[in-house]
Amino acid sequence: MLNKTVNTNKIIAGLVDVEGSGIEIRLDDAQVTSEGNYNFFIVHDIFLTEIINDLRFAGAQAISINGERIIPMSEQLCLGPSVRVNGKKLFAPYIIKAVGNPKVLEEQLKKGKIYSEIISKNLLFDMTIQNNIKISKYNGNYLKQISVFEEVKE
Amino acid sequence: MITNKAKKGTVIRNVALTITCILLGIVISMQYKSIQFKNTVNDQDLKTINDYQTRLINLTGERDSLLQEKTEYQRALSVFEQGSPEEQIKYLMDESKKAKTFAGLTDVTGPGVEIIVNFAKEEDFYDADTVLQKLINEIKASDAQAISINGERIVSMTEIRLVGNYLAINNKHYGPPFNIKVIGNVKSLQSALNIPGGVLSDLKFYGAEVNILAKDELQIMKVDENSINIGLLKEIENS
Repeated sequence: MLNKTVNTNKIIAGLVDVEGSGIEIRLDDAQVTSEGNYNFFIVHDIFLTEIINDLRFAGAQAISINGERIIPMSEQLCLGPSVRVNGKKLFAPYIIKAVGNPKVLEEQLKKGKIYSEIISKNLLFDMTIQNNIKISKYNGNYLKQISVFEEVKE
Repeated sequence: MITNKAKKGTVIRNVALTITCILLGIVISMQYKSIQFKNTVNDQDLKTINDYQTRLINLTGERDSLLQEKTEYQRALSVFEQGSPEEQIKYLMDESKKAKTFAGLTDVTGPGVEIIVNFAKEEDFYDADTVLQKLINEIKASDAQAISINGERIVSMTEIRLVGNYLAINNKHYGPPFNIKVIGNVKSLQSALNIPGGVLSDLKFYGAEVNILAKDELQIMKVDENSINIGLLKEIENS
């Protein structure tokens, strides 16, 4: 009973590996077809933020980008040619995994405003529905992220 | 005779000078080329050094967290091998509490900042989700530890999306002004938000008015557990 409560809390916190039905998205920089502003061809942080947000809106229960579990304080921040997530530098292609109702996830993502931008910029986008997506736990130091709190009330 | 000799001397001198100049030119151009060549090598070296530095930082971080994990497991092992039942229960309760705090399932207090976001014109509100997402993302990147918007705790699956005339946050509807509470390091939060050309000027572009207040102590409430669904998640054993 106690063990079950501990596990439930750990699942919500993203501290255990989980699996379930969902979708896998692959997002890569566009192929450069002309000289000019290369910024136009690459995957920016806001694309990842918006995709994650649309997946959350669609009821996703767990998400990861290139193996980094999305936790409450996960950032997506452009850092030169990479995007920083959970303090780590990730490089394209970005593999976004989400556990949830695959149909709803797909539908809401395509309704969201970032999808049309991805298509119009010719970024390489691929989405597959999968019965069993495995999402790894957060592998950073989570105790460091609750260090400022002076007091925690139950 | 003398003039002829003098003429011959001038010619020889001119030829010698020409040859010297040509040689000098070749030497200078070779030198220049070798410097240029060295420069390109240096750029590559720098890129490699940068790559190695990145890998080193990532791997050092991983090593540190693995070491900590090892310590945690050793502690757990000794509690479950030698500890009394009371100690074992206490250990599990402790684990559970830490996971709950990390997940946003407890009320927390600490120092931080309070941010008020408003929109002067009604039409600007149609970018409110983008504005808040950019701001929240910047706050998360500045090592915040807890965030709420109008009392809604931001957890891993919290959405901020415009639906009609309001924002959906944790499945509930909110309108402006938005009161954002953040617990974290006040100095890094303030400097990250106020950096010239940073997120605030970006938000101004979207017509958002932003006010930031430092607070010695803030209280942020836990997430409403009804807004959390984990029904589709199956734990992978031994993870």
